Amino acid sequence: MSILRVVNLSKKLGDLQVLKEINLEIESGEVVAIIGPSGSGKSTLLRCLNSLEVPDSGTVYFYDTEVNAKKQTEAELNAVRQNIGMVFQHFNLFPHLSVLENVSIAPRLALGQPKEAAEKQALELLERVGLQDKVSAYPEKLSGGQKQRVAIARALAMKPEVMLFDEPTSALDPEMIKEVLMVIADLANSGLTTILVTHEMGFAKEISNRIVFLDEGRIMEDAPPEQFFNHTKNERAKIFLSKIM
Amino acid sequence: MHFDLPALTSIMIDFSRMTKWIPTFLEGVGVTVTLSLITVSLGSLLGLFVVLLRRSHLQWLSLLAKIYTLFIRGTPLLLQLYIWLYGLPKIGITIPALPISSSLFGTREFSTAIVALGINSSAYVAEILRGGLEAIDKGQTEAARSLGLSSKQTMQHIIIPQAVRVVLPGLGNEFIQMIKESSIVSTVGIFDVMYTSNIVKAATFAVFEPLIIVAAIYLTLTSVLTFLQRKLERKLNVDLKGS
Ligand SMILES: Nc1ncnc2c1ncn2[C@@H]1O[C@H](COP(=O)(O)OP(=O)(O)OP(=O)(O)O)[C@@H](O)[C@H]1O
Ligand SMILES: [Mg+2]
Repeated sequence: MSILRVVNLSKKLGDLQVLKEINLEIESGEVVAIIGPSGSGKSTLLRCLNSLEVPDSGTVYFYDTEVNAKKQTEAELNAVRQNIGMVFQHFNLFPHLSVLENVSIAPRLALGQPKEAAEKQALELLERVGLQDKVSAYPEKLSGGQKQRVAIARALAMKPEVMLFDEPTSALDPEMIKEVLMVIADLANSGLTTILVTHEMGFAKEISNRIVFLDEGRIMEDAPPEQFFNHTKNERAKIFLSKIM
Repeated sequence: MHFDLPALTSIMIDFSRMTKWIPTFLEGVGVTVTLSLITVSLGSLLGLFVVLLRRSHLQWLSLLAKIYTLFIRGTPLLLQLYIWLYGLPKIGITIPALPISSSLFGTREFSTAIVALGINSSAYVAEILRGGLEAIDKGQTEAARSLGLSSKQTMQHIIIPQAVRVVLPGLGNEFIQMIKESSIVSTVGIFDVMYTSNIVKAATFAVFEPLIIVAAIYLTLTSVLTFLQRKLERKLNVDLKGS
């Protein structure tokens, strides 16, 4: 069974039809890169997957559970979201909490983990993203790359089955992009199901098994990276690639 | 330039007559500070309630809160005080005196002033709190909810701790404002700082001296409070850190 399944999803924001009849299936362990021009609906699609946006029509399934903030009870929705980690372009760390608290707060509150256990796990995760020396720092003292690595550790602390990344390196200075990409590559290679919206084409090509190309709210192509980057027949994709490569 | 010397001496200011009235002035300070403190506390509780109504998904509750705020902020405080004290009793709504035997605090005027000023304050506090909540980036809520926290946990552990820091200066200002604005209660015979100037004037026939003293008292109160507020803010910034 697919871990995530999107069926006939359409979504309007304001007057704009942002997503049109999207169908998409993600299998467990897949690494999927969503690419496309600015404004094509990539973020909106990603946000529909954990119901930060609720579709106007169509359905999102996590396994066989419909994910819908308007139809599910809050407890049901929270249970699904605990299995879907999300990393944002602008980090969204909690500025009033230390790095250690940022990473341990969700297991403590949502799973009721005792403080010691949650902090022990947070330390391990921070070590994994190379920030063991920043545990007691506050977010304002971190560089962009460090913030994003904390945000990744924070999401991992809930032991999610899928990770969603929305342009995790777009707000970073060039010299910090690599440290974040390396962490993401490490996760993807470990077998964690990953959906990544990115403008880093080289990276997408390298780590993903599938490229989903979105244009004006439609999936125009869904293919393995080798085929997409070298042999796409889609005109919009060709134009897009010629502009950025 | 020429001054008429006798005329000048006749307006000479003489504070020596004021010393024996110091206890009276201090009593007034007690009333003003107590009144302002109770009022702003009550206003904060009511204000929080008003914000919750204002943010309610039920349209009519939100509208009700809007009208309340509009009315309170759109009419003078003195008028609101008169309505509570003289208007509403005509239709049977009277605020009873507090059950304490104190000529300062145990009067119907004092308890009515608490209600009128507290309600007035709540509308301003509500706006301050609303601003505080709106100042927190919606990415904070999204991050918390995407981790699977409930909306209540998100409010309690993520939004409110950050909002507190944002609203604190505003609440401090509201208190300082109330110290000054509460002086209108002197018009209904409440023995606050402002009212002491009337008492002293009547007893000594000195007009200017009591006014100067009262001005100095208000200035001292507001300056000390401003200083304390700064200190608290600085401490909170150290405690809460963050960007
Ligand atoms: N609240 C809103 N009201 C109206 N239009 C919106 C709203 N939010 C987003 N949009 C528009 O919807 C379109 C799709 O937005 P989305 O963020 O999904 O695009 P994107 O592919 O992620 O773009 P980018 O690469 O710039 O991040 C954009 O044109 C955006 O301007
Ligand atoms: Mg986007």
